[in-house]
Amino acid sequence: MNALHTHQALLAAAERRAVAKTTRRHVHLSPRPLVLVGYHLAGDLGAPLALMWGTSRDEEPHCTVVPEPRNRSLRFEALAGFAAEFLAYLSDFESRDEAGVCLDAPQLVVPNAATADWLGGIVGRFTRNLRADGDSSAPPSVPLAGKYLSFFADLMPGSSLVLAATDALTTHWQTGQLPSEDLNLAALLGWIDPPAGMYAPQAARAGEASPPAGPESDPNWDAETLAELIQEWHAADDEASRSAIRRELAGEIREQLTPAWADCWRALDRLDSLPAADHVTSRWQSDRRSWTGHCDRVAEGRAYFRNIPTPVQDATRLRILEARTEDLQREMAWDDPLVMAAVVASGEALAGRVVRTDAQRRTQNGNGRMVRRPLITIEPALEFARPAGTTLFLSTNPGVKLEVLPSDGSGLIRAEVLRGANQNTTIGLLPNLGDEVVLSPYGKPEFYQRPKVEYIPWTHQQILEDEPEESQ
Amino acid sequence: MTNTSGPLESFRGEFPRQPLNARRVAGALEAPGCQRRTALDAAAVNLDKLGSLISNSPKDRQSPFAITRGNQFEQQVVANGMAEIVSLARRHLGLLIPEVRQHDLSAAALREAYPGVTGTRMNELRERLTRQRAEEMLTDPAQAYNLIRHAMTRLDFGGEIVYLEQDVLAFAVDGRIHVVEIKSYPRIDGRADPRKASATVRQTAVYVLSLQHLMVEIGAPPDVVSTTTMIVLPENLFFRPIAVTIDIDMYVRRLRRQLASVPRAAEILDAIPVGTRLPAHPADGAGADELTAAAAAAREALAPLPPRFTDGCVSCPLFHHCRDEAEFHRSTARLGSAVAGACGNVTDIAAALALAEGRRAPADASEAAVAATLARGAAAARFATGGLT
Repeated sequence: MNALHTHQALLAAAERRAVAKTTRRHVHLSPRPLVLVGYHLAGDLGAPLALMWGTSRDEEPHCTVVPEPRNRSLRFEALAGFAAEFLAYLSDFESRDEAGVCLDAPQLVVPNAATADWLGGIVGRFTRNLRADGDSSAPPSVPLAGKYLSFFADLMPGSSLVLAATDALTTHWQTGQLPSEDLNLAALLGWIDPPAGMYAPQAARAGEASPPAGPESDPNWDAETLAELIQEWHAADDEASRSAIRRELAGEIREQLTPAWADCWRALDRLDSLPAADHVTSRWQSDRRSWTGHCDRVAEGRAYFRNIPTPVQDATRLRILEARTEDLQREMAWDDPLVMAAVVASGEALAGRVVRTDAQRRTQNGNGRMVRRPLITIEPALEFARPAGTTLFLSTNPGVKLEVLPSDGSGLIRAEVLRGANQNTTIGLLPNLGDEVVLSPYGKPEFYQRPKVEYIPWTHQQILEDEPEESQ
Repeated sequence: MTNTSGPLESFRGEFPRQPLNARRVAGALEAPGCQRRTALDAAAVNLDKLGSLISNSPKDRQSPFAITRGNQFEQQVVANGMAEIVSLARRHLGLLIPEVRQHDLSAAALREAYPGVTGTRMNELRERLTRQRAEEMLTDPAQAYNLIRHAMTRLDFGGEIVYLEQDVLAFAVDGRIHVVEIKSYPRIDGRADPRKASATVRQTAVYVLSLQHLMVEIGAPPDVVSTTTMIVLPENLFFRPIAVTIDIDMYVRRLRRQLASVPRAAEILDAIPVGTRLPAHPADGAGADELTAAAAAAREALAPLPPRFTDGCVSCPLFHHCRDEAEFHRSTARLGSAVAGACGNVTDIAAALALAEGRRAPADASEAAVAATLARGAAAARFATGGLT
């Protein structure tokens, strides 16, 4: 664990409050998000029990319940109700700019990653290809909504199209409890946003007592309330008593899901209290582009998703995933001194004060030519033990690349500029005497196209079992 | 009740007993190094009751819907003379089963033939019958049953005999016994929930190991029991069963090593003050005073048993109690294994912070290392937020 985060966790526990891990907000917040919470029947991922959603905290959220989640037509009826409003929400994001990119993209906010996985990976996955014609067909809005939900599944790091509240909060705050306890949104908010006069651990305990945020319901509630209502539903023999039971069930479920719904808004408020980091806009732009691409595919009838990706698709995805993860780390560190501080604490980055600069310095390069290599000397704030020859980049200007020179025994670190600030036009980017600087391992990413994965790499070779059809 | 009265029984006293099953044996081994859990397991204490008594919270039961669905799936898989299992075993385990001769050793199936046998005696009977059937399988494969349901095997856990009920034992013509486990969580697009899958593997390892012990007891080589086991799961969201074969040899060996270290449970209890024992569990409908008194007595009995608080503890019935304790002692373990590991032998949160801020001088080299690391983290944060001044 990073020394900085370890120290913050200790501090959080000692001071009984969450400690900020960032000084800025690294996710995009939509002015009109769709907050979505839901339950499925215990042990049965394919049987949604209830969904609750809305775009404004001041309005009563919409809620749909399935009085018998194992009944296919009741399930479709409820899903169609959700699908219609979900598609209506998404249709607000169709207008485009001159370049043909959607002006804004939708944003789904869910309490935790498990809910996001369930909505995209199960509800989306098993509704997107349903037939809307023929026998026992689904309402046409259900497979269409399934295609959209599938788009929101499996997003790349740095995307804000779906915000899982617990993930977003733990990126920005460190609590003084177990990492697995942070998965409970109510408990996590107890640390980050405790009610007045309450210490965090106490508030977290109070949060634990509230009904689960989904997608699994409370087993005790299942046994004591839900089982009985479902039984009554089966016993009811006329429409009037059925709709009475449905209303009662909706009331019970609202009671269970409302805390999670309210907590999602609280999480958004906490995130909103931080100023947005610089790269949030560019990442959201890329979200807008992928949203545009999906809309195009839906319009052209090409919105297909593979249930099991081919090995080449898997390898390609892994490669993109690695690149995006690195990009996100880099951008967060550039944007946020506290995120960079973790890199300084780990010893990869150098933090200190500039005590000498030599902008005119020239040295002989490998070909014997004299080249301009400005030199800065830094008094390190924290010991920096990387060897001579380590390349670093100016954190405020990652285009400036420097190399650490051999130590002269004074305890000062000397670094010469290799590029980015060694010409008359760029020399102004060099830090001034007395400046506090951070030299980090994060340079500007290279812009060359990554080679396409054309053959199956050894990591993705499949061992064919006795039955090739099993892998389909 | 067991007939011996060692330190384990005397510690448990009048508190309700809960015989161990495969799931709990596997669960116990997920908390390595926790002497408290080891002692309670070896003493077969009812952990759920103990947990809800001391933290005064209702026990989290399993949802009735999850139970129903699990039962439905199992019924479907074993319906029609286990036709599905047989066909899956032929395909996935490569078993040549020309003729299926199956036998059900469940308590319900035996009750007719052996009226009046209940409780521990029923377990012993089922275990004896399993042993006989297994011997027949090896000595007379042409006549013996080759598919046994609800077989019962034994395992020694800290001196306590644990009876384990297996789903299916399949026997092949080539002379090896395979374990088949039926689970109801789905495999979706070729992938099952990794947490559930690993729990299943650990649980199945408990069965395989107990069968290997049985083989040794009847004088057969233990590798008659194949470590390649077959897990039957529903495919996607439908009830169509599919099978996955997996070689769990590694888990069986790990389990054997872990079990070998369990008998020290009695030693753990030897080390605590004489006469420490759990209270009797208050009867249903007992008053609040009685519950509070019993909870206090239980906490006192647990106190001398050293816990080891880690990330995995959330699934333990005693989680809330141990968490309160860790919090009370201001232990770094409260923050999870990563933080506790980084703090090394400094186990107190206040002491770690004092070291980081230089308010306390490190006592030894390892404390000095912890102090240096934490001070570095703190200094980096200060530099980032306020500059050096």
